[in-house]
Amino acid sequence: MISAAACLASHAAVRSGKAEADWISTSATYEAGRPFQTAVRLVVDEGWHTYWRNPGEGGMEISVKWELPAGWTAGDLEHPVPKRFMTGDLPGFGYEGTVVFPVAFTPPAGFAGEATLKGKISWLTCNEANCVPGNAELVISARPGAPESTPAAKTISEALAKVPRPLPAVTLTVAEKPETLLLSIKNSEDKSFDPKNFDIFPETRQIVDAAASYTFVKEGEEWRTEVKKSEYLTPPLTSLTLVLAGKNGRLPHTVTWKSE
Amino acid sequence: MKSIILTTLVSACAFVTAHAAEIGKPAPAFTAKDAKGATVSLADQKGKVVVLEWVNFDCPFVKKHYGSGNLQKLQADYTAKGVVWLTISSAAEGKDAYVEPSKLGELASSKGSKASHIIADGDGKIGKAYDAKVTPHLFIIDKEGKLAYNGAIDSKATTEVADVDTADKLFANAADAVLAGKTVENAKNQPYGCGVKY
Repeated sequence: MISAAACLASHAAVRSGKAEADWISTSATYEAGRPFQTAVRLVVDEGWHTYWRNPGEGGMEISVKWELPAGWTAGDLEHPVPKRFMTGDLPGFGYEGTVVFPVAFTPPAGFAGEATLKGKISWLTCNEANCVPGNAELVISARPGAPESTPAAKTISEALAKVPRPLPAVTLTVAEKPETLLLSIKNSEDKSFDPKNFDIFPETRQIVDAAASYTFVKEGEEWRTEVKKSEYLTPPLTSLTLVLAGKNGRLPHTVTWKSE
Repeated sequence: MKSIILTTLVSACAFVTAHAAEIGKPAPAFTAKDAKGATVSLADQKGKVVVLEWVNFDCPFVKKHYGSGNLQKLQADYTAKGVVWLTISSAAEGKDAYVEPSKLGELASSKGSKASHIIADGDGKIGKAYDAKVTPHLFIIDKEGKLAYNGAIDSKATTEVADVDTADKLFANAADAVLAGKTVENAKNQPYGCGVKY
């Protein structure tokens, strides 16, 4: 029974549905106890899109199942900043063209020998008319040894720069109103901070209406906006993470509010 | 010829009241012809629990639930308990997902559907009245004609058949509660699937 999956698993790009998937790594080698950086790459056919962690209404986030050597651990599959689109009447967040999802693995200290990592990847692509799923069983092999850069290393480092990271100086507070949420953002270190320099996306699902637009107005030290609640928001409201996608070369950030 | 005439009436006859669907409020009324030409009116179902299921047999999420036999089983189980199950396609003419009303019934039968009625809602009036967003999207109307559930079939928003068994049965739990006269937990939740092709 193991053989079926193993035989189908591929080092090469796999075409399925309306996309092609492959799994790339920064180095052909790994070092025991140190992160081994890889990325899943999807090349989505023209006219089709796939989805972000928060897919909006309809759609589906990419899913991964890893089969790793003993003691290896997987980090999160990291999502770059998405785009907005409409599929018919439904607002969504996701990607067109090539999208690279970085994911790092850590071998245990003392691990030796060739390592074979397997991943089962499932995704959904949709266009105006249809949705088509895709899936691939992919493999990465790595030898023990000093870092040995692969041709894909540049692609992965560029992808890592597109993944939003927390920016501690920026704080978010959320106040709930009957139909809306009042969002206040403050940057305690940078007085020139202006949310207009960022596209804003709700990473947490079912809190903010996926179609909401964010028009911040400065009030004192804070920038405030009122956005429509998701009709699926189930009380109590406990947390919200927004992605601030920097325009004009600014790095993307996340900012998270938690109740209490 | 007869079926062609009847199916022409399907969209012409669909009649829907204007107010939006809200949990605990009277469900939007509608009258439509089913795939066999019979008139189906929500008002006539008073005293019965009614399920509305939005369908597009090309959608991978719908294929998951028909391919696994899950939807047919739900239809068989609940119609056996007296539930009126309406499977509705709101795909508009000209869209890939559109199926001619005369063919929709056959298509549903070929999938083993156990629904009480198959309804072509080509002008999207019923779909818009309920704000049916995706396929599958499930609604339950209680015996008094009030909307009792608006949401997903289950908790796992994937296209994998293997996930059917392990998902939380959001719809079935709600249907059981409605039949038992109990309060529905999680009466409104985000349905997953392909957008309805209005």
